[in-house]
Amino acid sequence: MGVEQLPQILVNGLLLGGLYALIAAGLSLVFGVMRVINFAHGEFVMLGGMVTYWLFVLYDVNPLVSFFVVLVGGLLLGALVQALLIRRVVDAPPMMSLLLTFGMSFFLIGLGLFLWENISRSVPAYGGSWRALGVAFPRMRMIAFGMSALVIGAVFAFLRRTRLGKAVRATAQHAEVAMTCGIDVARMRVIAFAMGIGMATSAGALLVTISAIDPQVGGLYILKAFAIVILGGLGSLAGALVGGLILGLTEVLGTFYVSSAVGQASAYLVLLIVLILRPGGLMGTAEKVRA
Amino acid sequence: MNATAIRGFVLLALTALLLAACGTASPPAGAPPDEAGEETPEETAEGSTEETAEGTAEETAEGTAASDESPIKIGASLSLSGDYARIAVDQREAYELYVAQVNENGGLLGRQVELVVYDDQSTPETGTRLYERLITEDQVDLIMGPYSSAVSGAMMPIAERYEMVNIAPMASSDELFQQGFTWSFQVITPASLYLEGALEIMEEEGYTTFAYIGEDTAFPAALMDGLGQEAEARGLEMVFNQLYPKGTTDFTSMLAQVGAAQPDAIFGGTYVEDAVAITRQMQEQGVIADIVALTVGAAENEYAESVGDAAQHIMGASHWEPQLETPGNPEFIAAYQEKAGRDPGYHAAGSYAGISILGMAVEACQCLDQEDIREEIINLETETIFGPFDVDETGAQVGKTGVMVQWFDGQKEITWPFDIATAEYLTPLAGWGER
Amino acid sequence: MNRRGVNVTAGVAVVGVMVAAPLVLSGYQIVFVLLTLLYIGMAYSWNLISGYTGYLSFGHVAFFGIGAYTVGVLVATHGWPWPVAVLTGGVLAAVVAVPLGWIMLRLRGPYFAIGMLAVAEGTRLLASVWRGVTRGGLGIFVTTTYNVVPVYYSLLGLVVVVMTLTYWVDNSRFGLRLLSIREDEDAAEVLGIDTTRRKLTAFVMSAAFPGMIGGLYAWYIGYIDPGSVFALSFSLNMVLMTLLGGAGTFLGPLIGGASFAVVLESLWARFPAYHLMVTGVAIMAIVLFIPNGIVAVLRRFGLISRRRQFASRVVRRSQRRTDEGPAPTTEKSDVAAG
Repeated sequence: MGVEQLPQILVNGLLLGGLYALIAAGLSLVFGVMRVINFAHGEFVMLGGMVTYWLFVLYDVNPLVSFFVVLVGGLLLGALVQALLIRRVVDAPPMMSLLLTFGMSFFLIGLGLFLWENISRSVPAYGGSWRALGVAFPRMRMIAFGMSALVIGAVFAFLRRTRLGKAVRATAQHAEVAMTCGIDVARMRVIAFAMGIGMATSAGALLVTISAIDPQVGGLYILKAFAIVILGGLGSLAGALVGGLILGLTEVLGTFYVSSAVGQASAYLVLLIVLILRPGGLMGTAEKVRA
Repeated sequence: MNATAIRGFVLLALTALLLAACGTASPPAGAPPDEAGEETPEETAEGSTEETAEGTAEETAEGTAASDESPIKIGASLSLSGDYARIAVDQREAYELYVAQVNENGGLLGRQVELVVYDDQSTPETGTRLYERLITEDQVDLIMGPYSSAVSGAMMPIAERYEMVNIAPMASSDELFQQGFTWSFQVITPASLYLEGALEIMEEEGYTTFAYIGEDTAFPAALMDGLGQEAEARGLEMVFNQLYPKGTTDFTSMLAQVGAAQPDAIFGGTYVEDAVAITRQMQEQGVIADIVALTVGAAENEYAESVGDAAQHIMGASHWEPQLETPGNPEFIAAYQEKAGRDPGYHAAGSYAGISILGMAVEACQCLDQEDIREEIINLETETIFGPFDVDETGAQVGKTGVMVQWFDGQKEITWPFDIATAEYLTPLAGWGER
Repeated sequence: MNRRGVNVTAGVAVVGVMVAAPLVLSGYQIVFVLLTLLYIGMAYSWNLISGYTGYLSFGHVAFFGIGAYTVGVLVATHGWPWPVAVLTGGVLAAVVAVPLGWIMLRLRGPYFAIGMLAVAEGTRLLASVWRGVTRGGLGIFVTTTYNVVPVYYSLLGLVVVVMTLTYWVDNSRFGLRLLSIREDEDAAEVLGIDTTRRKLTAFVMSAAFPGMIGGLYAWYIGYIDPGSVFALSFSLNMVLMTLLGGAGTFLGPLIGGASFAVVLESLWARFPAYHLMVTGVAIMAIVLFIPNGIVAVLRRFGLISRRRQFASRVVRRSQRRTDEGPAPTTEKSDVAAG
């Protein structure tokens, strides 16, 4: 197994990782602000992809345009879900929010199967690759990487530079203190959850152009997202980005040098290793994780 | 616990038991089906008692013996929801079409036919429960097999136990028919032989090496074993092979390995979504060979629709194509189109053929005796819309071969078997973007 | 007859009915009850760890799969008799649970849940990849005979055992300690409870039964592959049934399991396509409206006694011991837990 292919493999891994990072970042954000792990996160990715697919098939909408459509849709949907459901379990024992989102996940899978049947959908977008230095840079994956980086960057800027973003961060750091400072914590939570879902759905829009999605594909991505957020640290966006890239690389390298089963398993291995050795993640807060 | 609570608890437990038992009792035999050909019996969670259930059983037994007017019931459990939902719908449409046609022509043995179909949700334990129900509760006269290998493997012992003929139209796994079952029959080509045509083409052209990637589930794994054996027999070499976990979407690393091995041919044991992803990623990565054959995935219309120009000259392994000049094929296609509103694929064709074989056997022996029907099927050697049908004593299909197709400008042409080909196969493949 | 006597009589009566059932029920009804017993057994196992300690394991199906494959391999490849293979499956699952639990139980809340999910997926992958032993995607043909009645009785036996175990846990100091872990683990530790040992014990107990149940499943179903024995539906049913009935209670999984099986049976026939959606909504509804399950509702109406009686009995017993003279207990939690 040569080294000549290594540059290509690395490029593949990074491009893949960038997309994973977007999915993970949404999950991380929600946890950071609300201490809720959204088990249904993968299903929102699926929804975003499905909507993009149908917009393309029925109305000839370019997936890159749909990207923004589902982004906004995701924001609204997230706000709705937060207001109706998540809000009720935020202050309950963590068991409750876990179980609630667990149930939501199955509901969404069932809904997807009911509406769209168990058929894989994909949108043939810009095919082909740019070539440079003997390495192929698949066009659509490059675009997806770029869009993903754009969104993560925008969220980052929002959190760091705007007043509202700072208020959200304050809520993440310490909700009670933030409340005493006059921050409308409930509203911050809505914003955070909405953004998280928006990131998920927009990732789905990109995903459907690169690979296929079916109603049950969420489960696959949620585990990878978990691995990433735990690797990067729950609540850390930068961690999600770095974690995503690392996971992407691990997967392709694992598949290439060993077998594809190992590549797939790398997410689980990373997850377990990090949980055991350094549960706070690479960049996360020293969270009360261990017993 | 006080006495009230005790009583409450005992009552609860007994009620739960009773409800469980009652809830599974089927309605009296006289209840008509909701639609001709599709039946999901109403469940009464309360109401019907165990007495009714037993009474029903007696009634039906006497009924069938006495009257010739009661319908012949054919039962099946299909994966109408869950993993294989889409394909199973085709199967059901095919069964319904056959039953409707038979009933129009006076029925089987002069009696109308009623189809009872349940959804096993693609899970084996539900499948076993449903066949048990079909046989013992609904008292069906005949059964047809389920869709997936897992459910088939789980219900074949049931067919053995109740000694009922079990035709499983879509069961392709070789091993299913190597377990010593004597009541189950295969309609489709065994999985290990799916790419027989591709290997023949390779031999014709003097190619020697091939690579194989497939999903780690029953048929692609069986295919890989089959390829290994066939390769040895024909003096070919499998230079690379790998099974990937179900759900894999990123094939780039595997394809890189395939490319590095530089095989003459690349084979894939893939369903349509994987075939699409693999083709796209092959294109992205610039991986190519002189022959590319992606079994059943690349033989579906959806494949060409999804990958567009990249499908040019890609081969697929199919079991049946509309162009085949098998007896009754055009009529079947027209009837199916009218009924289902879409073109039939090979699942529909194979299922239709399977249930036709059952009907043929029943008519041949003029009875509903399972032993006799079984004899008929074993001795039967015929051709249906699907192609040749001939099974050996283990029930495995030995008469039918697969069909190789190749895409030419968005059109699927049959390239093998050579005597029924609609076009000549084309090798070697030119590079991506040059076709 | 005193309270306890009535309890036991009721229990024996129910078991008696279940034992006699195969003689009167039709083939289908037996299979239906068999599968219900399977799910109830799994629910009780899940209840032991997740209900009592609050450590939600979303990956318990891993033990089920281990058991199933143990039987598959031992019976099909090595010709072992199935009862021995089933027991071996349980033992193997328990043995695996020891180091696994020791690692995983260090993690709290969502981390543990996700971690167990990863373990389940990883085990499934392992089953796929270890082709030499498990034959990977080809699957294993365990048996060609249709074994309903033996499996029925074995499952019945297992369910009785796990229920008895649960009853014991529910009425013991051990159970109270587990509950205290669920309420507030840090406080429990401060009070001197060795939470690690207790959690691990519960975890291993909760792994042995799915191991055996999985083995029985393999013997019943005849053919196994990684997809079917590590299926999502098992995890889903375990969680849902226990939640519905009442997590961390003695009767919860039974009530939840039986009612869910009945409801699903009627629903599924009419609305096959909706069952996942309905299951999802059911979980959400339970979490939002009856988070403590049906048992809690029944308690409110006085049909089932409240916990305090059990707890007070334990406390009275230990106080009696203290009064009678020092048999010094090293853990102060005895008194504190009252």
